[in-house]
Amino acid sequence: MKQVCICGLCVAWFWLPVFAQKKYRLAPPMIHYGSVFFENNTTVTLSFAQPGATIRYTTDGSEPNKNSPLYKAPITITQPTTLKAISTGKNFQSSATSSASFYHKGITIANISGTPPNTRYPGNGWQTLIDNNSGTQNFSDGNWLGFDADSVSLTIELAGKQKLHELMLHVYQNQSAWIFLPQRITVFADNKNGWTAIAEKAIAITQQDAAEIKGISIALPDIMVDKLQVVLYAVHPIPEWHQGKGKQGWLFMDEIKCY
Amino acid sequence: MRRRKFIHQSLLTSGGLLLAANKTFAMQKEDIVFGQANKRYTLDEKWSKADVARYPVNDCHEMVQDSKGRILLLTNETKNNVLIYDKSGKLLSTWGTEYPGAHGLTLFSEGGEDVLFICDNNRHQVIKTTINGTVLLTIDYPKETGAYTKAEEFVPTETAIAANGDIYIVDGYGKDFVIQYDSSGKYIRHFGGRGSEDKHLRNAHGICVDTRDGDAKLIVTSREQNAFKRYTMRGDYLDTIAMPGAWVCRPVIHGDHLYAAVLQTSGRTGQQSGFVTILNKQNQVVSNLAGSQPEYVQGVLQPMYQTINAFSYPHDVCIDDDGCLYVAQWNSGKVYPYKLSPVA
Repeated sequence: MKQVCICGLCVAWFWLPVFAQKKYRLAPPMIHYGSVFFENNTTVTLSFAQPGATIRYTTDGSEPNKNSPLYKAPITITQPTTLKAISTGKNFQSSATSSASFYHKGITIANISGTPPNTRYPGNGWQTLIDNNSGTQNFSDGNWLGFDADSVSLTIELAGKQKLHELMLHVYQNQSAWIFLPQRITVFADNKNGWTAIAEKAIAITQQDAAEIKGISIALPDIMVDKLQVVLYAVHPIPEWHQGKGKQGWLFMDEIKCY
Repeated sequence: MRRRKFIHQSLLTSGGLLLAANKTFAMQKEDIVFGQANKRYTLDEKWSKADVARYPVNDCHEMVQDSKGRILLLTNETKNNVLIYDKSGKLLSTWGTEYPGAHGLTLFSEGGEDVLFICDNNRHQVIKTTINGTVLLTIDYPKETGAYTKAEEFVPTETAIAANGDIYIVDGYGKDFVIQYDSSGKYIRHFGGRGSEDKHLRNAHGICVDTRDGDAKLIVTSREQNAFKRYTMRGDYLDTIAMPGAWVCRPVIHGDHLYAAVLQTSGRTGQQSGFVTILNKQNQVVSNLAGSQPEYVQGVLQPMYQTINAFSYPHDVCIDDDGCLYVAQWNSGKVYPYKLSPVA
């Protein structure tokens, strides 16, 4: 940061250390949308009602900074996108990044059922996972199914046989609330001999302070199916860096998508 | 012409240099003004001069000002549950080692004498004491309601005392009832509690008596619903004051305004996203300190949120006789309260 010499008379420019630690940090901007699941397009509004601050954002998944595009008007999303935004202001440190990822609605799921959620987080029944309504960071908002089981087994029925290449589970992680990502997911297809495993994904559980809503994608071999079984394994034991070490974590999900 | 130009240029050089200096030199923390409209403040994080090695705090839960003008702080640190300061931040005295779950602190002037009501989450009791900590009355879990089978179900968070001495306790971490007693601790009635109607409560975290428009009313927090709810002194539900986006703690009335610490922003739970909110006599939000500018669209308050990370988890706000605010914080690195001073 340049400053004119204090005497006010001489024009001696010199660099001063940035007083970052003496400035307050801004909170991240708020992101508003109807749902993260869309058919053809959707509109996203960013807000941050703090004089002296502006919003900068990206739509290519990169981290925004002071030079990223300035937010001026609602943004139209037409394809799967991760939107990231920060608040910046001269008298403040820039905020942490807030983000939201948007997805196509995908192939219609006719029916879904399985391991029941905990009675405190029943959402709207099994419809919750296929109603295209997305949950917020407030996991009691009625849009999330919360499971405290060791594993959650779900049977997905499509209207007819479809060629699938991807399954997406839309989940929530908030480690301070003992809610973790699943540590493993196995996908089975229904064939004449019963269930055959067609895909599996292991997820490394690392320490994370920030809560996040996340879409977990599992690639499927291009097969024709009308019925799938998905098994999610809860984190058990919870790693030793967490206050709940050794115990079982919760699983929260608000939507499942087939592509 | 040349002389005018020379003066013009000199003025630019000195005045302009000062302007340039102003432009490049950003504001320090102490210069930041929080809030909007005519409720704006600067913040002092170093108000408390207490020696942390001798007088530590854990969660700072609540604060009140007594009739001597002293500022009392309640913490669940059993080395010293109550810290008594003067307004400049000098620690005068401490007391209390028997309140491991110290959560609620209310002051009442009983016949000219200051008395305190402490809600203890761990002891499942409300304890009335003198200003120096001598116990006067202990209220146990309300068997009389027929709704409790054991003490552990009663986790009182706050009290409010009516002009006639009646005690209203909110069971904010238990069954969310408001239980009314007479001044001697005799049960009168209970109301609120959990359910799906407007009169029900979810996390009845705070309560106060509001006499701003003549008739006394109760204002009760329903924190999980991001709202305050109003009742008559006999427990009839009146209406709801929606506070969208805000996990409001207890309502505190000072003069014409209602103040509340907001523990966190509902879209950013667990992320140290708290702020302070101030409402006018009509219960409209006029200012959010470290929070968004309040906005009403066709009479409906828009969701509020933290904008500056000056607070982590504010738990209570106390307003003194100078109009200064003190903010006590929960789970915020054991910091002492901060003081906010009004800006003209």
